[in-house]
Amino acid sequence: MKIKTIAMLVGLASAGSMVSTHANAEDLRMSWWGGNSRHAATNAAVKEFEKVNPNISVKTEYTGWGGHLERLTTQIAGNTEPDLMQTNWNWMPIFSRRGDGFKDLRDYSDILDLSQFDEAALAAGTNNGKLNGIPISMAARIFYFNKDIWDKAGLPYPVTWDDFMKAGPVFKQKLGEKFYPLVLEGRDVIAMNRSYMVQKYGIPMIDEEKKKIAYSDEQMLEFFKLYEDMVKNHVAPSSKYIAGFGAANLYEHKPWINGEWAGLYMWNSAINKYNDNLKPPMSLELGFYPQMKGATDAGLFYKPAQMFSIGKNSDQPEVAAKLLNFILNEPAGYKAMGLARGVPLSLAARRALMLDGTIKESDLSVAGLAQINDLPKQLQTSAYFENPQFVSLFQELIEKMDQGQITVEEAAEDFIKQGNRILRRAMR
Amino acid sequence: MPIIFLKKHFKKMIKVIEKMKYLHYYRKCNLNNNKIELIDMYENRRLGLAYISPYIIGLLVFTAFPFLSSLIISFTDYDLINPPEYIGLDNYRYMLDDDTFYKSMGVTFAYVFLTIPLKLAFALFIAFVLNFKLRGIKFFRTAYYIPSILGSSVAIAVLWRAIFSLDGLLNSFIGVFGVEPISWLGEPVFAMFSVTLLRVWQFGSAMVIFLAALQSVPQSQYEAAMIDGASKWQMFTKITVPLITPVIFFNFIMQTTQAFQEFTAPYVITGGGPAKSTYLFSLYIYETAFKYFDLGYGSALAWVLFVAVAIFTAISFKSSKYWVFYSGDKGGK
Repeated sequence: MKIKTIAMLVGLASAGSMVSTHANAEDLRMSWWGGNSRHAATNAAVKEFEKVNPNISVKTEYTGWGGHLERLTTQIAGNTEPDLMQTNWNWMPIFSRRGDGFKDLRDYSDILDLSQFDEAALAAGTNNGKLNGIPISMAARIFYFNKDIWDKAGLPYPVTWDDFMKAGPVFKQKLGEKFYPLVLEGRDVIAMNRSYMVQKYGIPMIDEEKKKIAYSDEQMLEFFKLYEDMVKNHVAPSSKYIAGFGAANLYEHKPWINGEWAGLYMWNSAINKYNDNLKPPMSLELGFYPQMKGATDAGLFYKPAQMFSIGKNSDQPEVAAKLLNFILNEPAGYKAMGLARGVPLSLAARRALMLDGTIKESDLSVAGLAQINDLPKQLQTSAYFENPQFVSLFQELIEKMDQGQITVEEAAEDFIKQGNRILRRAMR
Repeated sequence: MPIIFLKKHFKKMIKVIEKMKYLHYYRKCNLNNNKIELIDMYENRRLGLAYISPYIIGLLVFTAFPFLSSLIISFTDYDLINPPEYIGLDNYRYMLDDDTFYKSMGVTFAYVFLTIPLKLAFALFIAFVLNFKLRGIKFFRTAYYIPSILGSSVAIAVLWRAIFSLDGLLNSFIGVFGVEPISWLGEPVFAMFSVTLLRVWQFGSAMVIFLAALQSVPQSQYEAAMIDGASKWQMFTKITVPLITPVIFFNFIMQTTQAFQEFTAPYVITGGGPAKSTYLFSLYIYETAFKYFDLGYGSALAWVLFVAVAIFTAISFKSSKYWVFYSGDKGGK
C-alpha cells in the first residue's frame, strides 16, 4: 500500500515537473510549503515583485507540508527543481552534504543584501563554506511555564539549573504526585542537556570533523546522570510514565491539557499550539534561560525555522536572488509577507514590522525570540544533531534506563558506541 | 527452493478445490448437455486477459517492479538524492552488528508466536459456537465479523490507544473495583499484550473460513460417533479437528504472513515503545527508509524479513505432512 502511494507520488511529481519545465523557459519558478495564509501572503509578495519588474514572470508551486519533501526530492533528483525554493535546515545533510547541492548565495551578494542578516544565522545556512540557504526566521528551544500551576506551587520560575532540581520536590509535595515542573521527551532532553554541557565545558555535542560525539566517557555519563537526577527529583516525568499515554503529541495528552505537566523546553516558533491546548484559563509564560557563571555560550539549539535556497541547475540565479532580496529586504515584499514565515530575520523587515505593529511583543514566540537574541551564541549546532536516528537512539536509551533494563553507566557507554556508528554512517 | 516447496504442497490444497469445480461443471454439463461451454472459455482467454489487464499492469508496475528494484537497491548506498552507489554486501554486513536489528527481529517473532495461536484458537472456538443452530445466529455471525472489517484502520488503533492509555477507558473501568491504574502502554510486557490483543480481536475472517469448514463436516460421522457413545469433546477433537486440518493450515499460513507485516497498530498505539518493546520489523524498515533516508539499508532489511518469512513458511509446510489430513489421504505420515 505504502509503496504504491510513494510510487504514484513519484510519478505525479515527475509528470508535474515535466510540464512546468516545458511551459516557458523565461518563467522563474519558485516553490514552498505551508498553509493557506502563507500561500496567500507569498503570492501577494510575488505579485508586488512582478509589478515592479514587469519583464519577469514568476511561476509559483506550493503545497501543504505533507508530501512536499518527497516532491522536492524527486525534482532535485531529476534536476528539475525550481529556481527558488523554501528549504528546511535539517534537509541540508541530505541535499547538500558537500555544499554543492544549491548555489552559493554569497556569489550574488551584490543583488541580495546579506548585511541585514545575523552572521550566526548565516553560518547555520552554510555547508562546507557555501551559503546554501538564507534563513528566513530563526528559532531556538527555550523554557516556557504554565503560569497558573507555578503560582499554585508558590514558586518563582527557575533562574539556575539547580532551581529545577529544587522545584521538583516542591511540586510533588504541594500539588501532588502527578504534577511536574517540566515535561520532556527524548529530543527535548538531549537538547537541554547539551545546553547545560555547552555552558559547563564549552563543547558542542557533535564533532563534524572527526565524525563522532565530542564528549568524553565521563562527560557522557554526566549527560545521562543529569536526566536520571531530573527523574529522581521529580523535575520531569520519566519516559516510562509518558509512554503509558501512548504514542501521541505531548500537547494532546490529558496531563498537558490539565496542567499537570507545567513546563516545556520547546521551540519558540512552535509554542502557540501548546499554549492553545491548555484548559482555560491556564496559559503559558516565557521563563528565564539559566546561565552558568562564566559561560560564554548559552548552548542554545538555535536554527533557521525555514530557509530559501537557489537551485543548483537554475539558469537565472541573478533573477532568483533579486526576487529573494525583494521578499526579504524590500518594504513592498516583506510587508506583503508579514509574519507568514515567523518573525523575519532580516533587520530591515523586523524593524519596519515592529514599528507598524505587525510584530506584537506580547506574543509568546516573539517574546521568546527577543530572549534568544539577547543570549550569547558562539557555537553552531551541527545539523547532524537533529539526525532522527541519533535522537531515536537517545530516546531508546533513556527509556531502557527508566525501565530498569540498563544502568546509567551502560546507557552512556552504549550511546557513544552506537551514536558514533550512526554519525559515521550519516556523514559517509 | 521454498517456492518449489510451496508449489508441491499447495497442489494438494488446490486439488481439493479443483474437485469442487469439476463437480460444478459436471452438473452443468448434464443439464445443458454441452461440452462447448468449456471450450469457449479457453477461446475467450485473450478477451479475459484484456479484462484483467488493469490488475496485471498494476501488479507489474506497483508490486513486481518495486519488489525487484528493492533487491537491487539493497546492494547500494542510496539516500534518494545522490545516485545509488553499488556497495556489495555492506548493508547486510552492517546488519550483523546492528543491535536494533536483533531487537526488532526478536520482537517480531514474539509477536507472531503470541498472536497466531491465540487468534486461531479464538476464531475456531467462536466458529464452533456459531455453528450450532441457535436463535439469532445470523446476527451474531455478522457481529463477530465486524472487527475484521474495522480492525486494520488507523482509527481503530487510535481508539485502542485511548482504551489502554494510562488515563484511558480500561483503567477507568478497573478503577471502579478499586484497582490502581495500570500502565498498559508504559510496561514492555503489557504494551506487547495491548498491541497483540488488537490483532486477536480481528478474528473475523479466520472465523468465517472455519465456519465454512465446520459446515462441510458430514453430519453422518457425528451420528456414527454418537451411537458409539462419544462425548461432545471427543467428537470435536477426533472428528471435527482432523477433518478441518487443511483449513487450519490455510488460516495459519495466511495469518502468519500477515502478522509478520503488521505495521499500523504498533506505529499508532505505542510508536514501537517503550524501550523498543513493540518495535516490529516493518516499523524498523519504514523508519530506516523514509525517516532516516537510508533506502539501501531499508531494502536490505526488507529482504531479510522476506527470507525469514519464506523459511518460516517452508518449515510450516514441511511440518504439515505430519498433521494435515486431506480427504482421500490415508492420514499423516
